[in-house]
Amino acid sequence: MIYVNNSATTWPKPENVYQQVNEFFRNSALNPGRSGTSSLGISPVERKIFKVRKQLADLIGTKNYAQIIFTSGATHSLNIALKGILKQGDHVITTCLEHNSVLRPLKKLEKDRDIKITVISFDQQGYISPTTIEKAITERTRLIVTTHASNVIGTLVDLKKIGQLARQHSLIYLVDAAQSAGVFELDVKEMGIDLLALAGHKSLYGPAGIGALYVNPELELDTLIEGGTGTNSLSVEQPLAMPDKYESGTLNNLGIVGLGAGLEFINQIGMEKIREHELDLVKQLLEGLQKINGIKVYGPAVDKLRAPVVSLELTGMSAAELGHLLENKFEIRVRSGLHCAPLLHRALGTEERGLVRISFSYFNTKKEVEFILQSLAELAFRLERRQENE
Amino acid sequence: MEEKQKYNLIIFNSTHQALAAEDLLLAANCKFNLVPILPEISADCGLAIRFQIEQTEILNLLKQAKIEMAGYYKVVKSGINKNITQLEI
Repeated sequence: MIYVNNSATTWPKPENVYQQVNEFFRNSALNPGRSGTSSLGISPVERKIFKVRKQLADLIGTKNYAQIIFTSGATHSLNIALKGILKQGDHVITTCLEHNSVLRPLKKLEKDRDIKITVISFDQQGYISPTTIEKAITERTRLIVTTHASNVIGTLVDLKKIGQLARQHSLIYLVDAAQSAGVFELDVKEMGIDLLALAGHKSLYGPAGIGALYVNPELELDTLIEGGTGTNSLSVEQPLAMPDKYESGTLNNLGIVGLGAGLEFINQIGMEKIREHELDLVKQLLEGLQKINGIKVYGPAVDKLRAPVVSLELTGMSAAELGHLLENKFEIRVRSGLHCAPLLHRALGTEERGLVRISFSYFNTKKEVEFILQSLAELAFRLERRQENE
Repeated sequence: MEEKQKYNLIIFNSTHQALAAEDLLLAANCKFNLVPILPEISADCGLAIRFQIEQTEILNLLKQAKIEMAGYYKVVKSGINKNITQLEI
């Protein structure tokens, strides 16, 4: 089987991720902060959580590692950020590239808190113009929220420029890095990012169910849930200390351990090497696709920097059918459909038929890309023959 | 007369903050112990660092690193009696 649905979740995981989770689950997985087995109330679990928090802080260029909150994933992180920041009547600017993890909480807030949403459209290759964002700023604007990389067409958003813009206008900048962390460098300080949502199970190679949110210490961010933190227990008020304030309930310590192992893997290989490898595969794929009749590719041109994800269609065949044939005839696992990005598909005009998405991880190979290209060529050829006979 | 034992205590109300303090002080080659909070101060399951009263640099280091502290105490132990005074952070 060839697995090229890594934008959904990376698979396989590095061997060390499996090993460390297994080892930890058997030997150390006590309840953090409530382990009660040592007189200190501190166990390898707390130390491990502390270490992975630090690894994440290193990844996104902050030394303030108490400002990293563990969540159940990017969706959870985005919900904390959006619902913790936006108040009655606020205006928010976002883009057509966004995933439903941004769009749906915003629509909920539109109903509940009467927020106003401006959605910025993209150009032909999927790029968002910071100037267009600037023009949309009003007196009520409080937040700009953008993805770092489109989960469908791979377009990258210029975080630094938008971050500068946010600073100039005293706006808060929230970035969804679910598709980019681990492949592209992130630096919250340099890029002017106030809130950064991360997914653990994609290009950070951890298991599902773990994610993180970075919170600028100067922000006033409301909590989404309250509860036990294992600290300050005499008080019935939610503690204010970071990161406890946002981490009520028992943390997903297995997820954290797996994420830590994933981050170790990235450091060991090197982010640049990972990116180069994946982008080589993208280039090979895009060049090959150009030679297949009837294939249409969306997104940035071949020579442009992009995330390692390619969406395509075969004219005359629905994405669902193409995805089904690739899986059943050739054992190639892609993702077909709308990829939780309704506005993007509407803007591309592909909301009726969907697209087939191919997304790589470090574990994909040139040989696999070659096979994908051969398989697509065969399907395109057969479709052409079928159409001629009709 | 019984010999008196004196030390200072900084308590934290977040495990993360206590571990961050430990990290910082180890890197700065400070001598200290990570200990549970004295029941006389709180029954909560928080953590504290214990150090010699002369080590005034410790508080400054933690302040500079913006580590959140929940309290600073001087403890004088005489037999089973403890005299605990709260100090200013």
